[in-house]
Amino acid sequence: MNKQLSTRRQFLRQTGAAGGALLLENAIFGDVSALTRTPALIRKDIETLTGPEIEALRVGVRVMQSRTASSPTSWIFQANIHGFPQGSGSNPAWRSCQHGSFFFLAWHRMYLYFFERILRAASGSRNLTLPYWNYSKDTPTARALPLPFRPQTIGNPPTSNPLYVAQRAPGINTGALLPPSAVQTGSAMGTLNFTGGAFHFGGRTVVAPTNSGGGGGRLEFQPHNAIHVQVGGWMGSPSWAARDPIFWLHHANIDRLWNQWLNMGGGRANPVASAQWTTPAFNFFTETGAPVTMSACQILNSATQLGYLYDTDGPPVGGVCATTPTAPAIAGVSAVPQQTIATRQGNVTLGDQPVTVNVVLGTQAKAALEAAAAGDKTYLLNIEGIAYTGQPGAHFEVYLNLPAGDSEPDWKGPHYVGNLALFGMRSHGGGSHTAHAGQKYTFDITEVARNLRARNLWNENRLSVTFVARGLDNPDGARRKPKVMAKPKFTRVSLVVE
Amino acid sequence: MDSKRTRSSEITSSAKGDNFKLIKGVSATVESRLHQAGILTYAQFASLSPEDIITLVGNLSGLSVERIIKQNWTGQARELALRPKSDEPVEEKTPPVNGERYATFVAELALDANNNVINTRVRHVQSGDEMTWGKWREDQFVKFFTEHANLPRAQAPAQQEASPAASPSATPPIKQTASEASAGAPPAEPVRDPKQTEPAAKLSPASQPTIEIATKTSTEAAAEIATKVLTETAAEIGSEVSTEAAIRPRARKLEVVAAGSGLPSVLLRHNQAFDVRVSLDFPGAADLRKEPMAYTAIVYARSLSDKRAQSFSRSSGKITLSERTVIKLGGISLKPGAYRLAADVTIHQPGQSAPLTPDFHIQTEAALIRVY
Repeated sequence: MNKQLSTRRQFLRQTGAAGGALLLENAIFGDVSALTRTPALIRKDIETLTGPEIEALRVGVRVMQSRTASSPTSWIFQANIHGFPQGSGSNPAWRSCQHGSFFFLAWHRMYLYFFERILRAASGSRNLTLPYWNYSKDTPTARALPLPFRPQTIGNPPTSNPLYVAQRAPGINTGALLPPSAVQTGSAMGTLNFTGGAFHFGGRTVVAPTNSGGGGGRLEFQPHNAIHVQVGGWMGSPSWAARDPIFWLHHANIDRLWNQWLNMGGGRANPVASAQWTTPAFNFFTETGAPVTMSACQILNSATQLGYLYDTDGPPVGGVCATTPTAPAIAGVSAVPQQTIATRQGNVTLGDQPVTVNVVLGTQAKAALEAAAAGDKTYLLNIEGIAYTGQPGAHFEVYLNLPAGDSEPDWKGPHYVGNLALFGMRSHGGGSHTAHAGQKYTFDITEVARNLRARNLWNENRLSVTFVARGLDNPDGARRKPKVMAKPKFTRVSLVVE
Repeated sequence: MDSKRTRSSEITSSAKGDNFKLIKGVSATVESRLHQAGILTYAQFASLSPEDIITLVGNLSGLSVERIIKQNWTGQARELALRPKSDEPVEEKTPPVNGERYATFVAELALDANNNVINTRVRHVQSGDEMTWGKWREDQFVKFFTEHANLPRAQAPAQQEASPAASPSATPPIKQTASEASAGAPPAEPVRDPKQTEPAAKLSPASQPTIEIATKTSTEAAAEIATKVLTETAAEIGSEVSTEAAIRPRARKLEVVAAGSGLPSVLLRHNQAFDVRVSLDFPGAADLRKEPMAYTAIVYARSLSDKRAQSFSRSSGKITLSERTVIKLGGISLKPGAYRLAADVTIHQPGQSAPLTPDFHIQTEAALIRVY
């Protein structure tokens, strides 16, 4: 940590010495090449903000909320860029959020960047930056919704708090804690490749931008999706999420984790050689309401290209786009051969109580698993045919071969696979009364399977998959009984060797 | 974040939307939360699924998907969305589903103190066709409905008298039948061609077109035209850009206001001076400019009797654009007759007189007015 801080200070000194005066923003109709301001502004942990900084944030949000929805700098218009209700008119920039593909991180960075400029202008504070919510910190309050967002009214005489949203999950506005499994970042940060293969940090390569690509990266799945689900209310649906002010702090944290991942090294890098990733331009608006477009090459290094950095950042290592991408374009979908070795068909409904699905491993499956264990293969667990009509209000921890009777399993134990958090799987915009059927969630169970084998906890004849609902914890950290509001269903579990 | 500045002028509620409480089962709290979420119109409401509504409204006692479906909230919203507002163009049209469709009409009656009908106006929303006649005439109603809904003959009443069929053109001609005059409507005075030197629209001596932006005539007018103060500017952070491309101005309405009443009216005495208010929407203009723009506004009156338009009021000056900009042209009177008013507004950079390509060019029409 000390090393990181030292590195960061060194970097801040360097960037400060390089410029001195502000380089003024010059984003006119697509020209965002000279956006850098030095020294860069610092995005801070919300828990470290001063009273005046919190107040400036509130002023900015309140001013944006007061603008008519047709104004590009209004709160609703900005939220509509992420998702919007059908029938409310259209704008090329609306409902353009990117989920389930390798555009997820880049698009949301652009989105936050222009939103932050609008918010800054609205606040009247020249140095306002978006704070981030670091729910993964090991402190007693990190998993609680940040305090400024909880009270319905503020001040004396009381006035409405623009950061408050009544529709959030019950309890979260009064100090309930996100469950520990929702805030873990280990699986994402341990992944080395940005894209490509079955599992990746940043998302699956797709040939063109998509609202819901079905191939989210590990950071998108966890913690991103789980936090959306647990905060609930507007945050629980891509169509409405950006209406909740906490959305922006959550995504600032995801953006921060992207920088952290790059700083970890070990081959971690942005896919700057992929024309599919670097070329598409997305529509946004500046603080004057002027339309502007931006592409991934313009946001690789937040400090040097966008004029901000996080208080946890190391030196910028986001890479540089070649004038023309030199590597061949990556194919649309990973073509690694897969072999389905066991399946279990049948309708399964998830609810408050743990649900276990047993998958019988036949002779052929055993042989395939033996061969896979000997070689360098990946085991995939697919949950298929997922359908749900509303927000469950909880995520589901998934365990393999959990001992019978263990109703309070430990997500840090050897049986834990990951979280099934249903955010972003439905198409955006709402308007449909039907369930969103046929969607798939895939877990990499390679390490879990190896660990269970090593501990002699592997069952050669049967794979049992247990789903345990997890909702918010009490403010004192005690586990609450989960209440699943809308019960999701699925139709098939399959085991695949890749 | 180094400073705190309050901006009370901007901190006002903008979440004013349709009255969702007209939907049976929707409470004020539900309405408030939907407005807060940016669901402001019946059309937006109608597009939501019950699950969306639950998400947007949040945890309220007694609110459930089943209740929303049972009470048919979205169906009610759809019906309300189709009901046109009297002062706004209807933008939503129902797409045909299995051949089913709606034919929507707006009727407006001008009544005297004894509730006798002085004037009748009816409009077919889908085509925009409009018809007006004096007094109450049931046969005219039925005929208009029958023709515009394209009802089978069996449902149509016997044709009692000849009347010109409505034109399906986008800008329908104003229809005035021979029977209208015989039904008691005052004879319309001809309005001369603009090329003629003598205007048919007679201006009262006290009301030579003292045309002005309504900032100093009354507090009410001043409040209407008051523009939002640009409280944050691009200059604060070093950026100054042109944003015309982001602005889609539109004419919201053109109203006639009898002098002294302050209220819109479609029925005026022949010696009664009136003002014309042209309301223009500039979505996003709050962030556009702080410098005034030059404008020219021309109001035309078209007599129903001879269909010719006469420019009878002109105004020019400077104006600061805002989300809702109102231009008022004051002190006008017309001879007896039925008229449709129209306005043509151009806005351009100061210092250029009548540029070939103005920054904005907006046209609008008013409802019919009758001067007696």
